[in-house]
Amino acid sequence: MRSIDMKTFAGAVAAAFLAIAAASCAKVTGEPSGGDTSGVTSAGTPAAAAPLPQSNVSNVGTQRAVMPAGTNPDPGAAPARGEGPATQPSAAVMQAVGSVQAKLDAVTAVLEGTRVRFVDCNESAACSARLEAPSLAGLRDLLQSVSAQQGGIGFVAREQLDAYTGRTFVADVTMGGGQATRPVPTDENELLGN
Amino acid sequence: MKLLFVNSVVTGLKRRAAGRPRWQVGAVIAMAVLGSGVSAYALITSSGDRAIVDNVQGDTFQALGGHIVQSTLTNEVIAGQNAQAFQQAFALGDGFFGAKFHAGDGGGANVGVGERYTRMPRADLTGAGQWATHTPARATGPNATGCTGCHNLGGDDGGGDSAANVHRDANHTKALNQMVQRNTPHVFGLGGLQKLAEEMTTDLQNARNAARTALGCGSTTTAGSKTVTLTSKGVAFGTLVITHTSGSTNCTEALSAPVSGGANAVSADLIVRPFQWKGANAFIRDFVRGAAHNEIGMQTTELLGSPTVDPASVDGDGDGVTNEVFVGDMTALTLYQAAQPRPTTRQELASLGIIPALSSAETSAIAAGSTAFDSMGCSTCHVRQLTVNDVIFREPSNNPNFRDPGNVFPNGRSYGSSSLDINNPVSFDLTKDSPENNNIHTANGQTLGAFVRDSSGHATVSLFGDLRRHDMGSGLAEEVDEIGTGKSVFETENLWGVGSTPPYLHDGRAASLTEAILEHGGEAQTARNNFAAASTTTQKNLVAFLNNLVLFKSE
Repeated sequence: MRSIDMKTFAGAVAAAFLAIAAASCAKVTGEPSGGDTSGVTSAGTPAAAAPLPQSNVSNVGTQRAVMPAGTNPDPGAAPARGEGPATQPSAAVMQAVGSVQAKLDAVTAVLEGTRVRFVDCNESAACSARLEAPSLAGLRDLLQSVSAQQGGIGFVAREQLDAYTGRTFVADVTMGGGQATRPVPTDENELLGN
Repeated sequence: MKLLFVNSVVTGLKRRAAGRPRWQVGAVIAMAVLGSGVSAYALITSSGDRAIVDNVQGDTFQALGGHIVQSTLTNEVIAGQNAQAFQQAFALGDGFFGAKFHAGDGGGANVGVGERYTRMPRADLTGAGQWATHTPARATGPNATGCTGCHNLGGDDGGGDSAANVHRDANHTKALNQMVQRNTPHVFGLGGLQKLAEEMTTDLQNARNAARTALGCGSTTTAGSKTVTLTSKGVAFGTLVITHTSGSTNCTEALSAPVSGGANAVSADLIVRPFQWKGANAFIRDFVRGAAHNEIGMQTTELLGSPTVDPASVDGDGDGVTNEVFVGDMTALTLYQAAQPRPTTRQELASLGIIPALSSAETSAIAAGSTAFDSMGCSTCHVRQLTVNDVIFREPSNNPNFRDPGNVFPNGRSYGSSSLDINNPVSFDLTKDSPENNNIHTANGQTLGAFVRDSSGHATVSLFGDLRRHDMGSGLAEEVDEIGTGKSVFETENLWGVGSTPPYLHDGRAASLTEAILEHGGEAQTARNNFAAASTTTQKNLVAFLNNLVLFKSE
């Protein structure tokens, strides 16, 4: 009888220890998983590489695609990095980002369903942000508030569809640093395409 | 720290249980732990346990040859080694699609309550790191350990049975009637679909832009109006009325459906979106990174962080792993999807000796069914084939509507900061370069994996679709308007491969093709009625024709 009690006790304690130990392992620090920032592939030759037929686009030198009108080529393309940023932003940039983020958050806090997706700034305090609203009228209200707060903004608005996040209305906003501004229309239907 | 915590709890409990029989002590401790509110769930998120998993199971990406850094691919293209870049990317993408990702890789997510995967959206779990707090906001899952957990009907990269349906709660309502259910489609031929969408979008937007220029939109204040007929590749997308009001440089636009009483065939921005059941996504990269996050819990750095914070430091799904999928990995998965072989037919496979010759009765039924397909009106929307003029697929695309707006990832970082260079994309030829089915040569000298190249050098895409949205009637309407296009509005399902991928319709409600046809309504009501009124022989012939459209991979 005593030995049975001991087994029961030991089993219960073991179960408790396992449960507590597992819980204490959950959600501690998130460490990088060995991300490669060396600028070169961490792979050797891919193991599953299949032999390819001759391509008519292979080995013909750099391909310069013909860019359609309205294209905004990214002048910052610099193909020599890994995943992380080459340099950490300066304290001034971080301060500018924090300041703008706080101001925009104050606006979205009072406009239901709106949010700031990201803020980016450069050394000359020219900032950009992506703002989101659940409706076109909501986006107009958001832009009007931000424009009033910032003393003018530039913006490009669009509808964004996504099977996972549904339908949202988004604006890429520029502010500060002497960037061009334009008035936010009162008719929300003029936001898109103008 | 973990041991101290455990010891202190157990010591305390032992003190409170002093004098009780030991079995009661054990029970008290167990009940106290289970009922204390302590997160006593076994879920591997700590670095120590993840390291054990990695050491024993092996890092999955390492087994695939390692992550690809985007700069490697871009530099290869710049060096004139595009074929090498494409081959490397395709191989990793192939491995990625077939892999089962474990805790060490960051597979799955911290759903909460100890779960790593869930078929039921858990918007009720709002604790730190749990389902409802994931970044980006989660709508479903994670549903599987890898892509083939769902895409397995008709082979890898195929569709999914109804058991593989996913449930989405995009608005985190926690209400069952506010969720949508989605059946898994196959992913063959996606590169052809994106290229069609790119060219159709260009046609539609060029027509709009010409009218806007003529009206002086954005430059003058003269009043005027123009009606633009929107068509591309023989497909009608409705009309657009552009109005320039006096005294303003702004113009307004009103889009009308191509079918009276029907749905708008395309969104107001005139971007043709070929992916997802309602035409929600325009380009493959957008589709696959959303799926990687939502369906299997593998988060790409493109989604996480911010322009000023290293995305590699962000754990968006609470699983303890960061930097799960690199930008280059996502390029690889995109190219793998884009270069999937075109679907084929049983007749083609028989002609190549891959399957036994079809009987004369079957051949006759397919021919008669093909005729019925047209006469009943099916081909009005399920257009047999469309032509891609520029057969080179590029990632990133040279069409700005098929990249992230402003060449900025969802996390705000520029393409350039990750060496994704729009001037130096990894590219391949839709009519030559698919690595799949390339060991089988067709009568015209191409391979079975390639899209058929016509005499003009264009690619024939036999999709049996029109890339338009349609109102499918109240019988197919959902309780939720998923993307604001209408509860009963869906994009025409491309019928290529349909013989390999039952069940059918957006939620897999139709186990057979006959059921799927009969469940059509709205803009397809007349075609549905024609089918219902036909003889059983004709109905069987039509189904034989559709069952002729299959998926095939030689691997």
